[in-house]
Amino acid sequence: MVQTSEKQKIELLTGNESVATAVKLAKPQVIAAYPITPQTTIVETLSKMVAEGELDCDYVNVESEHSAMGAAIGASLSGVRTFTATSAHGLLYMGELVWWAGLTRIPIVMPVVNRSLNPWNIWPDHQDSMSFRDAGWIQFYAKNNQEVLDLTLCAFKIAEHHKIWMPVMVCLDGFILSHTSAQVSIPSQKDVDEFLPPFEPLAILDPKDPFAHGSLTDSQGIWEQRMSLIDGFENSRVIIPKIFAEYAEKFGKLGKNMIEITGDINSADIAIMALGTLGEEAEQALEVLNEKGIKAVVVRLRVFRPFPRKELITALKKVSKVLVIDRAVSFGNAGQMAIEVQAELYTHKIEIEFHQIIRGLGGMDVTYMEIAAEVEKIM
Amino acid sequence: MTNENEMKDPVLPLGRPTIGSAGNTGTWRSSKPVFIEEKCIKCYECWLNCPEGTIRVDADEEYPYVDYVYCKGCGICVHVCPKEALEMKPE
Repeated sequence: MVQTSEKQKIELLTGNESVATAVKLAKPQVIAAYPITPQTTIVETLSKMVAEGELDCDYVNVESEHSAMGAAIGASLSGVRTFTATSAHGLLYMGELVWWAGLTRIPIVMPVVNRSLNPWNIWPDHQDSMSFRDAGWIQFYAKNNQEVLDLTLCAFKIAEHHKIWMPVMVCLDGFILSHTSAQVSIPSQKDVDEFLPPFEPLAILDPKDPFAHGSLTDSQGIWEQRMSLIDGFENSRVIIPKIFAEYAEKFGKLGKNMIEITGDINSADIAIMALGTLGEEAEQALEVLNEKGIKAVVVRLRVFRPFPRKELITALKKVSKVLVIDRAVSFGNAGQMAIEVQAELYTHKIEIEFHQIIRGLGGMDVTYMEIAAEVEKIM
Repeated sequence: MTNENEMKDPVLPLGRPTIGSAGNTGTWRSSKPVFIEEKCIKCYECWLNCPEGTIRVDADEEYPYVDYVYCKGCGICVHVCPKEALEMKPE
């Protein structure tokens, strides 16, 4: 399926190096960032690229994540492609401005290298990014280092699409991806330049044609902007698969869907749902289950915002049971993905057996054997 | 909706500066600044300090004057004038 693209080179990259490699290929003009484990090596790698002249970009060393996002918002409004990165407490500290970027439509790309929250723990779970799922950001969850690179490149094109025009968070599990090397196929600069056109701003802060961005807004103005953001997400449901498809055609990676189904959905009895690396771990469980005569399939949401309800419903209609594994909790209710899947099942009157578990918090290891055992329990 | 051309464009929170975006604020005034041109040395301190930009100077070396449609009558211009070339008069 790969058409007219140059030979891709294959290198051993960590997840964080995959991000940095994708960002270099995307040629942002401004990067504003502050280090935090396990994200640090992304911005460390990028700052080295800038210092050594490999990447022509203004690298802004800021004093905090709050300032990093503030600088990124300002830079983006000056009409350039902009990037930052964070994790866990950095994301929380950045919080106010994460909402600013989301609600006021700033097309920044930011990986969140997933890390657990308090008390101190540097290992992965999804509590950090999940607590920003409502902030007006598109959210991707990558399953391996290749997908990290692919989704990061797509993220720029999606964020900057004029009918979307909103920030994108690319989530990758800390350490499991960020600090683990794997083979990654890297597209050529020429091919990326063809896929990703230069940044075309919708509005530029310019003293010759001045405007205020996000000044005091009355309720009518807020209403119009919120409704527009809802429309933007509806637009993104259509445009994201198109951009994924374009990427797949050009580079032979990713595939056009916002969800990835592994296994034969038409003969499966149960669907296992999990995000990021947990989804890939669940794929490993399929073989074990198959040996025991259990026909299972993995339905992994590559995109969590917009919630890919149409693709999800089409898939879940074909199974009689679903097991949702969340790596975060909406305290006082349940796992975030479980809650949202249940809502879709009810809305579309799909009466299948629903099961949910929470696993892997604070970086606790979740093996394919454990996932297989959970599935066996409910069969 | 699958046709991108039919999709709605984003509504961005941009505020363009316009004269009088808060309405005719001159009606808020209880007293107004009045120029005494014989005393004015065209230092433009009043123009520089007016918080609402309602003191106008049309060209270099011209006398400043007040836009009474929007002047709220705060009196800062009178306070900063080094030559008492402005005074507040009741409406």
